[in-house]
Amino acid sequence: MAAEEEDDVEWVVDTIAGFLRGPAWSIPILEFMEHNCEVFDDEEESKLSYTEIYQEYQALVERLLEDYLKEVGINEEKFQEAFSSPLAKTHTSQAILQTVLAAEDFRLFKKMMVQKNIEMQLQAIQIIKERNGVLPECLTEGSDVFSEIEQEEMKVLREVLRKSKEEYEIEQERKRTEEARAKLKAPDVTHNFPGDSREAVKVKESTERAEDSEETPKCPLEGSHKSTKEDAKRVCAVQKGTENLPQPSCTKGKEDTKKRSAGKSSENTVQKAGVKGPDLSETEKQQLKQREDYLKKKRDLLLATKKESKNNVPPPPNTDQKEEESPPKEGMSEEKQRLLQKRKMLAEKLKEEVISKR
Amino acid sequence: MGELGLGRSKLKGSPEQELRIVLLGLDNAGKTTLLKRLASEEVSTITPTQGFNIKSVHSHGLKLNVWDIGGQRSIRPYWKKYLGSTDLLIYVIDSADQKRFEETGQELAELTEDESLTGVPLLVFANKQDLVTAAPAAEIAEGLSLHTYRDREWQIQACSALSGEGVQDGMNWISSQIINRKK
Repeated sequence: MAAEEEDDVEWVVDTIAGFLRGPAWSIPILEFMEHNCEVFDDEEESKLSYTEIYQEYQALVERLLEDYLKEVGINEEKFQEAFSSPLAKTHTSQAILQTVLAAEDFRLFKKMMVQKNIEMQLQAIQIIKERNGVLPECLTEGSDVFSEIEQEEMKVLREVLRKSKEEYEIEQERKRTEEARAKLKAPDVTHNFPGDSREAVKVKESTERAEDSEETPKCPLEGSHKSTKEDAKRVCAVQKGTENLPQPSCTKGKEDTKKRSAGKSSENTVQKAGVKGPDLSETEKQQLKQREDYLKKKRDLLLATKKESKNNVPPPPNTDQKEEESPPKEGMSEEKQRLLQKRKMLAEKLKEEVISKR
Repeated sequence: MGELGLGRSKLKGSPEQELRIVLLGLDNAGKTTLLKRLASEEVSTITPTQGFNIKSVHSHGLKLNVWDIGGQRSIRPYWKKYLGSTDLLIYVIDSADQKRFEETGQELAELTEDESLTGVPLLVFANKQDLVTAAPAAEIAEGLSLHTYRDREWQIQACSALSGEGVQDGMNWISSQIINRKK
């Protein structure tokens, strides 16, 4: 009897784990984090606006889980029994468990959002660097001075982050492909590594860059390089300004702006340029607008790429398949998971060091 | 909260009993200093709280998650968002700020009328007893008409969050409250 119950728990755990790995969970959760992480900083004190976002997150998690459990016919008790059983920890990765636990632990939620914000910022820095070759002054001077050593550290950190992410993705991909292949016994399954899509994006980016650089030297008096730099500085100042607003009401406003920006970028640009005040010349406004458009495009592209790579992941094998998984393979992947975990911890440490040095 | 029990800490299955304590009071009453004192942290560099702070304090085998929310007038309307599923309320008063005794009394009265705090035990810290101008705890209790509170357990404790004096006595009362309630 007891063994049967255990099997039952294991089945529930596997079912839920499969759901949590799948796009029906990960896509809305990731999207929520990406769209709301901007206000989260690493200060010990929390902003009042965090609470509102946290409550939204709780509602989202609850809705996703409830809908799914209803669909597969798992009741609340079974879910809680399964989730608090030790199996839950061995059958799902810490990162996935975290997204559920964060819904009832504000501090865990905050940590997760701060982390996401740092990730996004690093990606933004990367994009700026890719485009300009160097970091704009606003990111290297003033209060945010980075010494050369710190820059070097950032480089290492980004590399570590990128590598660990890539490896993790490839690993996940391979696991799924292997599973799918074993199931279908079809030898011609195409490997769909996320690296492929990234390559494609790179090509797209570089063509875009080429187009863009043709447009940039519109200001006849200034050196184009200098103007670009100054331009970037201004834009960054604007961004910084909005980020630093501590009032809870500003989150709402920003969200609205973001929603709108998804549709009509021109409207958004005009609005933002308007905020800058009347002391800008037409050319400057023009440049600002160009830069704004560019950055927006980049952000959209980034989000699109992320979505794409998420969508590229084949749907998780259903539970029947999971049960037939052979144990030795499981052990191996667990070992790799541990390795990945180690790498992630290293990346985290590096992150912390960078933050505390700022 | 919904059916899944999120927010009721059912998923974590930690062996320790966790409690939610909300720490309120006017601005400059010493809430954050008290919080840091409870968590045995440095209390010399504290600035006015614009948002909120959370710290876990372990006491008598209990894990107390203490939420300290800024007390400035503009933030007070947000207090009620943090009152849900609270196990105990700590209210901090600057005993030397006689001019604002009435204001702090009104805020406390309003809080105790809130539905989410019905029956929730109340600990009032008469803080800043290290100052010579501080009013004694008994006087403050009278000013707040604490003796008229019939529907909840309450206690007033003279303390100095800065020196730490009296803080532990308050914590002992909290633990005894929780343990009594479990029985």
